[in-house]
Amino acid sequence: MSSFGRAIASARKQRAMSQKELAAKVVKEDGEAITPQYLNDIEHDRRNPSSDHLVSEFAKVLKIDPLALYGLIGMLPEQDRKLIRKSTPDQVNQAFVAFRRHLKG
Amino acid sequence: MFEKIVAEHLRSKHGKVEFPISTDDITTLIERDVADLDQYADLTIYGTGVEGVTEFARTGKPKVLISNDVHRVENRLRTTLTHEYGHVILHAYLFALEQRRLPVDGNRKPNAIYCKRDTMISASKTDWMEWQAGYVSGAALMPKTYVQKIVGEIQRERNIYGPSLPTSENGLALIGAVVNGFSVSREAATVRLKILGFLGQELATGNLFS
Repeated sequence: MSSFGRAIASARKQRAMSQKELAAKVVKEDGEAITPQYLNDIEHDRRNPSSDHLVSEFAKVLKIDPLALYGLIGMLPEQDRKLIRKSTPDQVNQAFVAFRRHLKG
Repeated sequence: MFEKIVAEHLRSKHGKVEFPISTDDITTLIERDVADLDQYADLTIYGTGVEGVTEFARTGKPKVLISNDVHRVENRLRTTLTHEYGHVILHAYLFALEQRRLPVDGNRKPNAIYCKRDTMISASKTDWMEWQAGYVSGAALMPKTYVQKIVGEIQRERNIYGPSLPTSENGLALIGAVVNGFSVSREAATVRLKILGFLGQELATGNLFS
């Protein structure tokens, strides 16, 4: 899976949902559902989800690991971004080295 | 063939077959048979009036693009989606055999079909690929068995025995019933009723005793 959009489209199709059905279930911070057009643009990598809230909404509705989705858009989740802001460059470096080791298994 | 495809899709999704088919169900039907359906594409680079494109790959499933502009009118969207589905189902073999080489202009690709609104419903039979795709669109949105049911009731009510003129009262009643029953435009309903023989030149009628 090489992009956030493709991951969303693939998970949606696996669940036999239409774009309209998924869009109606993904709710923005203001309580409004996203539009099918916005979802279509996300699925075709023309737009990225605008907030952590939307990433977690997609993860929740489609039952995908949110960390995997953050990885696909090349972003860290909000809580990790906060940790990084509080840490020294050495601590961040060590954390990434440990993370890479973890990925290599 | 297309009635069967549509009915099976509706039955597997909802456990029953009811018309009009929702636009949403049309999109999931297409997504089942294509690699990608882009419903809000910018097709202006392919020239004016292009509302749908079906792009074939040498291997794998085709890709369908629907113009952003088509969404303004629901019936237009439904026709465009089913029209492109016609190309997907009927014309993939043409591109699978060998790379198609047609003269192309502008940004157009040789392995894609570019569809304009004016030929989507009423293409002539000489423009055979567009005519076939238009036929599929009609068959998917207005399957014969279900049209016969609606039309049969009106024919019984009005004592119609044979085709009606499209402009006659009976013809207009048939067109209206199909428009309402299948959520299609008057133009699409008229073409479908003509193809199925419910509209046409009226047979000679008259009272035997007059």
